[in-house]
Amino acid sequence: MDWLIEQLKDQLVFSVVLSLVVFAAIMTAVAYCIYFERKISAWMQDRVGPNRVGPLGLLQPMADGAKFLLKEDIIPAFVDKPLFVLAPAFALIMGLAGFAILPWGGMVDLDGDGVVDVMCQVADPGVGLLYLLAVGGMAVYGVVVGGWANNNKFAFLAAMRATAQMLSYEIPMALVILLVVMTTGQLGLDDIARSQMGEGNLWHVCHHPVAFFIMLVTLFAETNRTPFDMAEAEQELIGGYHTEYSALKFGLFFLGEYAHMIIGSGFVIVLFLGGWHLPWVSFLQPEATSVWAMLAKMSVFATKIAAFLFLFMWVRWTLPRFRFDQLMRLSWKGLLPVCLMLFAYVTVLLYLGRQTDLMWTLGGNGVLILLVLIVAGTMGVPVSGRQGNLSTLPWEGAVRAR
Amino acid sequence: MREYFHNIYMTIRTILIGMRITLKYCFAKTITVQYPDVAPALQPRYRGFHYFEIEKCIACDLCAKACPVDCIYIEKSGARKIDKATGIAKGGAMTRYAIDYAKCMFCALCVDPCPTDCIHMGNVHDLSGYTREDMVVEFTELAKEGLQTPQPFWMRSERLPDWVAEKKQDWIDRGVPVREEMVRALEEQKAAKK
Repeated sequence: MDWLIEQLKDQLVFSVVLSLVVFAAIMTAVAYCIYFERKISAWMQDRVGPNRVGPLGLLQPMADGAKFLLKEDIIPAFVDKPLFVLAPAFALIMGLAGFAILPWGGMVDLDGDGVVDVMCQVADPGVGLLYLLAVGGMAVYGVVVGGWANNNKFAFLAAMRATAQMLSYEIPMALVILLVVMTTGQLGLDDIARSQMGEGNLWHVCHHPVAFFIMLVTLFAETNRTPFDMAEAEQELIGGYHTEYSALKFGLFFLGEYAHMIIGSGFVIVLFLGGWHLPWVSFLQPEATSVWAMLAKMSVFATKIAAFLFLFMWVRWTLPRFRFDQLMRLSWKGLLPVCLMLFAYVTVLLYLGRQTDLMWTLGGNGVLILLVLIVAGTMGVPVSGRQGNLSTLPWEGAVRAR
Repeated sequence: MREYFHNIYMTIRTILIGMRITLKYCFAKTITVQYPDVAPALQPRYRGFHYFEIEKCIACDLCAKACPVDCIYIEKSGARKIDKATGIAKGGAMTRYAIDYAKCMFCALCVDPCPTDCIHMGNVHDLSGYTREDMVVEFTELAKEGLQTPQPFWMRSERLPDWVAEKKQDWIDRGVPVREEMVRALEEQKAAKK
């Protein structure tokens, strides 16, 4: 045991062990995400969901996995073979690559001698957010390459939609991340998480509620989840970009999607919801460095991610899909201007040195919302949703005067 | 202007209403009956697969004539008559009594005209088969096993939920005492003396 701790005190060894643990946990979590997706959709539709394999159907992911492995792996005749094979791997690898920089539990003092030994993070490159943006940008490849290599019109359409959508939503997302970077002056994810803790510091969601909401919207778009699942749109595009895929390749796309969801929610939590931190709990502060505190921090982080995953599923089984023009309009006419205004406001705050002053930040957000409503109201331009030139819906009674 | 803000308000409001409804249902108890594990709630006069007492049948063909879709097939080797003392039919052999359930529409019109009250609607509702021929149930074959109603494939396995075991026991209780008579109905016998 002592020998093990002695070994683990080396950051490299600790990182390797942690990455193995995290990888195993994530893959299991992804498999169970699919199970819970089915369960939650069933509950919301007044059904029971999978319950025949094992107690409560808990072995369903194993059965699904076995099925994915054993089914015939069809490669259609006219596909671009190398890309066809590469695309699912891309989707999953890019989903998993981001896990390298998630700060799971802050500083750890393994042997209890009061000296911090390792960081509970696979890698802390110092420019973690840039890495995140790069990997996030690569994520679109899985979808695009998959749709392209298919040689199937519907899959290609889906890939085109996905490209346009992900590019459009990457910009507001990057701007929102920039806000956080500006307020904290840090690029490393653990530094950003720690800047939200301690005396006088609040979670960034308190300072930037509008930015948090925008981040949430772009997150839904980036992970191709309803109401932004244009890339999969079963009703319009058969299966979307993975129409021609079968067996394990299809399974990899599935896993990639859920890995994306987990990592996306992880980043939102780190950026806006304090990572593994909960206020007023002593062992969840950066000062607590024992092994038990690390485990507690990791479980708090995982719980926050689980809550986010539930939100994802809840929204998916409630809201209908956007039309494509509405989707584009929302990004370019809605989110982008708001993001730019927020950006400008935060630069002013930085100049005044008020970036962590709750009154200034929240006041700015309030003024911003008011401003947007006034401008949009006078222009009457629909940012999203129903267009103004459509007649009034039947249940709204007589046509109101404009 | 007013309409514009009304639209925004309605958007947010309807989204929240929808989210509330799904959340409510997410934690509500489902009322789905877990069928093979739990007994389905069948009404007392449920019209399932037939329950046929071959030892009472006189092969008069009235049920086959009443059948609107002509799905009952009856063959016999000679006239059969009810023995008033025992209530059991004797005479010619029942060579075939079959119902084609691919055609049957469970209207129960065959039950009413039966003079000896030997065909009833049963309580089995999930017969299955791999071919169209599997849908034809030969009640004469069933009689050799002492059964009066067809048995679904899955109910033949050993491990069964309690309610199925009870149902099967009910069939056995009704079938076994008259099994000999049922088998005898398949053979030619001297008609009962008047």
